[in-house]
Amino acid sequence: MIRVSLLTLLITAFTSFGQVNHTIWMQSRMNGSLEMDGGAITQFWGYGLYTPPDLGGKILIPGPLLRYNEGDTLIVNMYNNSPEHHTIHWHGLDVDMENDGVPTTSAPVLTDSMRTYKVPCKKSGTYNYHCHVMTSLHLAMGMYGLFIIDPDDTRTRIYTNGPRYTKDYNWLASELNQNWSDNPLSPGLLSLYEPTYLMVNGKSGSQLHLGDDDVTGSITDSIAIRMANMGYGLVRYIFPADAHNKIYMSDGRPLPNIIESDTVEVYSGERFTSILYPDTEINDSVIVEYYDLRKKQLVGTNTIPIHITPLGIDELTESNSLTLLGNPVDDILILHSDNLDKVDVKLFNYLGKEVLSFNLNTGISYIPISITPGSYILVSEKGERINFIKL
Amino acid sequence: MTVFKTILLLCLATLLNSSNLFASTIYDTLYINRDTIEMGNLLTNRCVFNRSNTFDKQNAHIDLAIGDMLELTVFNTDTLDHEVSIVNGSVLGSIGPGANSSYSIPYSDFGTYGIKCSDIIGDILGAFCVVRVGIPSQHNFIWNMWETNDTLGLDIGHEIISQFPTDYKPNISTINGLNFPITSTDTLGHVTGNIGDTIYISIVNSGNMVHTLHFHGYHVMVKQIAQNTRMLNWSKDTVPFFEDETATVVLVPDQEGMYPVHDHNLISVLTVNTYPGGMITMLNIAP
Ligand SMILES: [Cu+2]
Ligand SMILES: [Cu+2]
Repeated sequence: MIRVSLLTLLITAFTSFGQVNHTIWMQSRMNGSLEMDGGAITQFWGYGLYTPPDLGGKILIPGPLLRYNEGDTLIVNMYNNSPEHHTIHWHGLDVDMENDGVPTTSAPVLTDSMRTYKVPCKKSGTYNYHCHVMTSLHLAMGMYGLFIIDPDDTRTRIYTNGPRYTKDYNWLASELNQNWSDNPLSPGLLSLYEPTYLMVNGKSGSQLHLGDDDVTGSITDSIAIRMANMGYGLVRYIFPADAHNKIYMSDGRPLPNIIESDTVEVYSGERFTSILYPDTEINDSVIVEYYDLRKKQLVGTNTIPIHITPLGIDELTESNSLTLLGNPVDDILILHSDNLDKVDVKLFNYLGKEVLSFNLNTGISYIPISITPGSYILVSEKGERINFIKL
Repeated sequence: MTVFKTILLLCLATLLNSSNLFASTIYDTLYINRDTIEMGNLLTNRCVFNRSNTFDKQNAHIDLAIGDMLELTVFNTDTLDHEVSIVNGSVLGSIGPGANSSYSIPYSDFGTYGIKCSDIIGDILGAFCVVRVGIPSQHNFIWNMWETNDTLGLDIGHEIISQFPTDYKPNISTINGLNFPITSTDTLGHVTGNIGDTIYISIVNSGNMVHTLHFHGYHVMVKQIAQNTRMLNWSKDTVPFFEDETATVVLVPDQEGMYPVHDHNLISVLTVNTYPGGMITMLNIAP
């Protein structure tokens, strides 16, 4: 009993020790240019990181990915290197009014000046940041980015004590209007906005097919996907059925029920986190559909290639909550589970073919197996796996 | 003695809270009025349910206890026929110009509901009465979101066109018939409260497209929702509301300050071409 208390004390001490203050320098500029699919160059406004006092460096669409741990505090020194005022609104992070980035309730960052934002990273999950000055224009011009809060440095769970993943991808959908980019100071009636380019992570069409954005893995992987939408409409992400998509989170909070669905619908400003549990070889695409909410019409589509191999022997990691007692195995698998709930476990042969599935209660389970001799892999629903040899 | 009094008071409070004990028949009267309104500098047509035959661009609302039977009489003061329906429910009937009709509607569940005009003119022009059932009498607010295009509204109202356009371009966006910053003067919609209050916000979409509200400062809990039911009990900072959606969200503020809530489809946060405008209201939370 004393031992447990001491351990708890130690863990608590470590946790508070692990909370870190990070300081970064960001700048806003209104002179970005981006090559679009097909070669056209568009102008954009955006954010970039810099190292003071050197204000060089790029602004990006989307802006730099900000990624910290739960409990950390981020200090952002934001320098406005442009002729108009800007702010940063920490979308979903529930910061206080002073740091909310709304120009009518907190100070904007004036031209050629600096202000500091303090952003406590309260809950692990997926968030955004964007400019809140003349938002209908400034956001559409590219002033946004993704903000991820991890439970801890290991980056293996989507939220604290939440489900595990072995790989992760982050997709920020957004749009650009060619006319506004060409004439940002006289865009005309802002309510007439129409997207020209539909993007994921600032890329569209064939730009997403160059290999850098492919989802890759093996059937032993559990692949976390964080999806956000900084466009004006609805974005639907459609996964191949064999990817077995489960939706766990929205807007930085776990859902009360896990949703099994091939399709994730993300309206403007929403975020969702899924985990894919592919159980067979996949060479396909994730379809990203963009809808105009006024016309209730599909306005365009992107595709993101997904390649899942049958087995990824070199990517294997040890299981934490499952233990196989005895390896090689004769006729009975003796497994110990630390999990408080039932855990689904699948057994694959070396070709990646599923040969058996069962679930494990807490403690020791005896699973009789009648399979041909060879090497096998056990994969739990949490993405943990154990290799063994059947004699 | 004091302890006994406290217990008695607690019992009484519990009884008062379980509002179906007080379920009864509620008689109410609404008037369907229609007129031209000016929003920003744009003229358009608006249809509403009011409490009298005098036109007011803000729709009336009805508050009931769980289990109440609503005996509703509707007068149509308009020059056109209007069809009246339970939102996400059945058609109640059609009422001719100058005529009236009465309906009995039972309300058995907690939440936010609605009665609307389901004829194309009344529907597009925003006639939508919010019905709140079992919502606590303190710390409650209503956001009735409606948007239109000025010329479309006039053309529909004057029966020049009779179909919803395929190329809809809304340029008027409102909450409770008002656009920001006038929404800040609306006691029904402008949220005021203190840290720790349990604030009930009844949200309906009487417009013609999805509206996705983003809350600054806080997450809210979706306590009841008629259409997008899988969002029930989700904690969200951004919530899509489908056409004719009726929902109740609960906000328990944990920090003080003034925070906007707005449609994140940024064509809707303009009054004419001025930002910030349109579909924005504020949360004003004191310590
Ligand atoms: Cu800006
Ligand atoms: Cu936002």
